[in-house]
Amino acid sequence: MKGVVFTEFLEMVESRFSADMVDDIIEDAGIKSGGAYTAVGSYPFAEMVALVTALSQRSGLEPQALIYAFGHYLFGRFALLYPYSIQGCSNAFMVLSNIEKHIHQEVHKLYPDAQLPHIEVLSSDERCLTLLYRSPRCLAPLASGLIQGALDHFGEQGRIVVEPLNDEGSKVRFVVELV
Amino acid sequence: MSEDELAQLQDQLLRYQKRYQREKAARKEAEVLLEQRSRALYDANFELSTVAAQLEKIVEWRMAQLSEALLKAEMAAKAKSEFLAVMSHEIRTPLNGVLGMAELLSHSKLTAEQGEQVATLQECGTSLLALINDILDLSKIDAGKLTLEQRPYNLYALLDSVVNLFVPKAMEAGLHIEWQRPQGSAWLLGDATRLRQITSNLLSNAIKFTHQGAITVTVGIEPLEDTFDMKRLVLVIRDTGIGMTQEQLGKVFTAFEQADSTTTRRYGGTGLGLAICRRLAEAMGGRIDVSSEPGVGSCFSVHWVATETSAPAAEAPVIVLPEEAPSPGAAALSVMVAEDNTVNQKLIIKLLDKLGYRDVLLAANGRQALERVSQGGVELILMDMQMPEMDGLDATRAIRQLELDCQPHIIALTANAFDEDRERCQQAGMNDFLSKPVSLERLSVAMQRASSLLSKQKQPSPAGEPDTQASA
Repeated sequence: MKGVVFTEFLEMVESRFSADMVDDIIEDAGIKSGGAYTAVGSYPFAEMVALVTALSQRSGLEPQALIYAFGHYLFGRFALLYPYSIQGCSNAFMVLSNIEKHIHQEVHKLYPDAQLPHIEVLSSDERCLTLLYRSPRCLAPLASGLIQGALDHFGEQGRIVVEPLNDEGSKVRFVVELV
Repeated sequence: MSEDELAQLQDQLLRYQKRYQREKAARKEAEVLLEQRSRALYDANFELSTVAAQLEKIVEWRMAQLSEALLKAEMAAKAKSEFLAVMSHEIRTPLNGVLGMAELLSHSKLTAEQGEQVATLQECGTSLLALINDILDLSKIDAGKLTLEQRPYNLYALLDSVVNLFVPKAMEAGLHIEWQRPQGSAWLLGDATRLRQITSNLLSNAIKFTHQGAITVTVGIEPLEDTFDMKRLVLVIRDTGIGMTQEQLGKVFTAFEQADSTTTRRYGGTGLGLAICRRLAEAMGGRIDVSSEPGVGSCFSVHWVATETSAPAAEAPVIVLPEEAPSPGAAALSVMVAEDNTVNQKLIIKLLDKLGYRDVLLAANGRQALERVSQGGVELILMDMQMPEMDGLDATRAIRQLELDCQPHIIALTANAFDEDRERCQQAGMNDFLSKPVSLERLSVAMQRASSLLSKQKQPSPAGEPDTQASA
């Protein structure tokens, strides 16, 4: 998993909880890297799972809720760190429709080895966008949070329906409806 | 803890916090920089691969152009050699007529003056033929089409015969050929014809460019180091002729060049001989060296390597020409000439007549020959290779398919001089090969060979005896 996901996660923990919480969950998770992440590195996905689990235990919040919150936070950060990736987009649907074609391509330019989820547009009109999410990492809540983050970024109101298409959640359909 | 201590501790903490913030900011800055560089690298790579792709396209295009050019060159070379083959045939056919008729004329009753004129005619025709052969040889070598035979030959005997051939010419010029022949024999594997050609050429040159003195021929043979039966050979032909300057030596082996272009007028020749000799020597894996001094003489040495071999069990049968011209069985033999050219028809019939073969059958093409042969009774055919309707090769193949009491002896008669033609004739089922222009002597030998073979076939012979050449 790309380092930027780790550094941003720890940033979020620091800002929403505290720097101490960061130290604590790193300690709890007992991760090999010792939490010394840089945005440009790559780290095992298992470390992210361990960190989220540790945070869930310390905070008493559900892992799914934490992941969703992180997704929401992450969109704002991406918009700040990589403004060119949403340049020319005037609404959330435009950004979401461009993930596979534009944003992921840009990511691959910097990190040719990055393993990214597949986000396929199943249907789209002015009011409704249906996306198909596929990833062996089963991070649909993160995607959900990112979608909400996109809507909020453009000041749009919407409802997100999450329809898992299999048990483990590696294939999920998102229906985003503007209200 | 005193207030001072507390303040000190707070101050310390603030410092650490600042230091931590500073380090974190530095890390983020580094990350951003790294990403920017990565992005620039990606762009540069992309551009490079675009350029590479373009280059590849250009290279591909060039390659296509090159192979097209190569194809064109190959086609041109092929066209050239085909042209040469055709021209060779086209030139030889009328020349055949000229030389043949001149020969017939020379055997008729002539005045002394007429005899001299005919001799000149024959001489000119023969040198024209030699020139055509030289040009053909050269073009064939240049086209890489020269194939050398690897057959046993006796080097000393070969040189004996070549030297003997030139003795009269040397004597005529007031020269003496000193052939320092080693004792015994030296059997080697190689192409005797080509070696004979080189030797003849060098000897002929030596005689041509020497006005007084002698021509010395020597041959050296020594074992090649680290080999079992390989020999290092050197044939030296030294003359006391006009010699050459260093500058002249430089171009003496170049085609169409003579040491001095004015010598063409004075000494004749095309300047092809030495070019051919050098190429032949190179084809044999050897070389020709030359040293010379103006006014003192020249020395040509041929160096090559050959495998020594033992003398063949039985030497090739010698065909003895009968002293009396018309052979006793000649008239009894049923002979057919398959030839489309009327001049050549006339000539062959006259030559055959001289040899005692009369009532010769004529066929204007292969089909006519086949039809006549299928009726039976034809014992010997002189078959031209190139004829309209059905050529000599096809006709021969068809004749060999016929169920006859006795298959005719077929002698190929052709203006095509290439070795491949000889092979093609043999494969088609012909028994012998005569290249035009046919001289009375060569025709006589071939006819003798044929009639002895045929008479042997007629005699009751032990079953299974191979159809080999007869020892007359």
